[in-house]
Amino acid sequence: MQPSSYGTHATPDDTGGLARLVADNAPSTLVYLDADLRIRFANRHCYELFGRTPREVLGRPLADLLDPRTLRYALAHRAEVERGNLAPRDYVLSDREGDRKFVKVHAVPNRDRSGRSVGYFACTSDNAAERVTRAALSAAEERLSFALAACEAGIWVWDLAAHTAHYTAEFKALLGYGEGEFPPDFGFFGALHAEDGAAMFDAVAAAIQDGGVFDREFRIRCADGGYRWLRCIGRAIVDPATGSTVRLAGTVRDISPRKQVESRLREAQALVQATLEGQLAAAEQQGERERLDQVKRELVAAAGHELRTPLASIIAALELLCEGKALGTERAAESFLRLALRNAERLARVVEQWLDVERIDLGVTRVQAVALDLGALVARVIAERAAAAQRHSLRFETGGGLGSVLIRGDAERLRQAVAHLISGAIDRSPPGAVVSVRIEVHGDKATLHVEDEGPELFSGADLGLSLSKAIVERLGGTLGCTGRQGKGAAYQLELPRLAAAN
Amino acid sequence: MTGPRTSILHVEDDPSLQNLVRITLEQLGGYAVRTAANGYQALDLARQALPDLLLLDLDLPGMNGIATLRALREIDGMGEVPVVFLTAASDLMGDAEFRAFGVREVLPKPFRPRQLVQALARVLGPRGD
Repeated sequence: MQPSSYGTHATPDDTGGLARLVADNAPSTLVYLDADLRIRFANRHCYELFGRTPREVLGRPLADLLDPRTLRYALAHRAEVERGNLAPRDYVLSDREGDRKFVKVHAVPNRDRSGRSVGYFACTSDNAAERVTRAALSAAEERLSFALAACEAGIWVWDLAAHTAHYTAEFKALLGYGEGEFPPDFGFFGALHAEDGAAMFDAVAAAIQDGGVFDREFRIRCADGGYRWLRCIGRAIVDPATGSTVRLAGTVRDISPRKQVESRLREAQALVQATLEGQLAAAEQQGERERLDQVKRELVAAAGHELRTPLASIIAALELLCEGKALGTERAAESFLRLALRNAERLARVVEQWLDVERIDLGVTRVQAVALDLGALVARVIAERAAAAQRHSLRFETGGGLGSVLIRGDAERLRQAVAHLISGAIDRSPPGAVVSVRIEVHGDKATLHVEDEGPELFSGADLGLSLSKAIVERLGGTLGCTGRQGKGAAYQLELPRLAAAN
Repeated sequence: MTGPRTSILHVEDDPSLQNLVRITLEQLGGYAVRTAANGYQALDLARQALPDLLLLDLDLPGMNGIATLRALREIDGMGEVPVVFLTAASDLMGDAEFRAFGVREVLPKPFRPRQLVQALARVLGPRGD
């Protein structure tokens, strides 16, 4: 370009030269167009903008400089200007090489006396820097949009100062809204599932106040009224000048498939759990039922023996009474009646005892637990049974003697249980045998061992043993019974011990 | 009645029933009765003199009725002696098991004295031959 073509110098009385000088040195494009939109004046900046010579510009119609799309835009701009709207408009102009330039164009009509526009003055303010940034942003947005679409993420931005919310098309698509379907009054929190809203609100409030990030999962109502699980990662954007949060922005992603899998997994786990528990419960019930059946069989057998024996005596005695022939004397008759009476009383005791087992099992009978000396209690029982043992030619063996062992128990009930064990041992033992009775202490347990030389495990059920067991178990102990490999039976009565009295 | 009376060995631990069975068998049946309170005593009595019939309780202290019977069978001459059980625990063993021990009859407690005598007479068969 020839420098002489431009206003580089002018004398003070050369108005045209001065105008050219001013125009060519202005930092923006200056153009004058006639009513037909032919370019009648342009400054150097204009030529540079289009990359053309003055010859290629002056007198040419605007259509020669602009591409058709920009020309349509310019015609619309002129229409606005004619209507009195002088607001500047943004243009994207291309030079010959195709380089895009971003300019803001101010246009003013040149009207004659009648008000008719005879031409237009246009000037540009070069906002290339802004435009480049916006173009870069736009390109970035485009790439981001692709990326978001690819990972099905949506973006939302809440401007706290302006009270506006912006949601990207991907966000709207996640909620099932097509283009133009997104409700203008969409309320984010209103769309959250009732169970998830409060937590999300808290997270957002915390981010606003503390300027932090948040990451939450929630269900949100979609266009079809159903709910979809979204994961939202957001952050507060803080104005560095004031330190206060001005915007919140974040991404949302669809996690419904994951939630579905999780939910199915949970259901499956629950099902497995329930099935296992059901089977366990059934097995326990089965075990308990079998145990109860066994107890019942034993009790019925015990009842059979312990009820039938006295009954046999009563019936036999009464029938013999009726058989006058067998009686002989009045004295014999009386002895039969006494036998019947004694066995009726025995029967009554057995019935009472049986009911006792029931009452203790049901917890109706209170078994008191007071501190008492198990050693002394056992010694008393042995003393009471000494005569019976002597009749059977039996001997008691108490090892190193029965020392003092403090336990918690019900003295009378426990005496009953111990007496039953020792009486049973006496009954079962052959003449000359030894009944071993000793107490062992292990940690916080005291165990009474009663061992006899009778049959290993006597057949038939034992009502008294059932009663003893119920008593001991009520006192927090156990009563077990084992064989001694052909040498007799051994009973173990274990009770929790009181702290040793020093 | 000619010759010695038929002898019955009764094994029973309950004192009332010992008495009543003895009276029943002696007064109503005319038998000679010896009573043992347990298996050990029964063995002693059987060795002293063989009985014509064993009347056994099943639930005995120390050695139960079956064990007692097994031990009694070991005694010379006791192998063929007819056995009757008189027991309150009638459901503890099946008939086949009792028969395997040569048991001729299992009578339940409570029993009727007259019926007990009749049952033993059945087992012993016609007397005086």
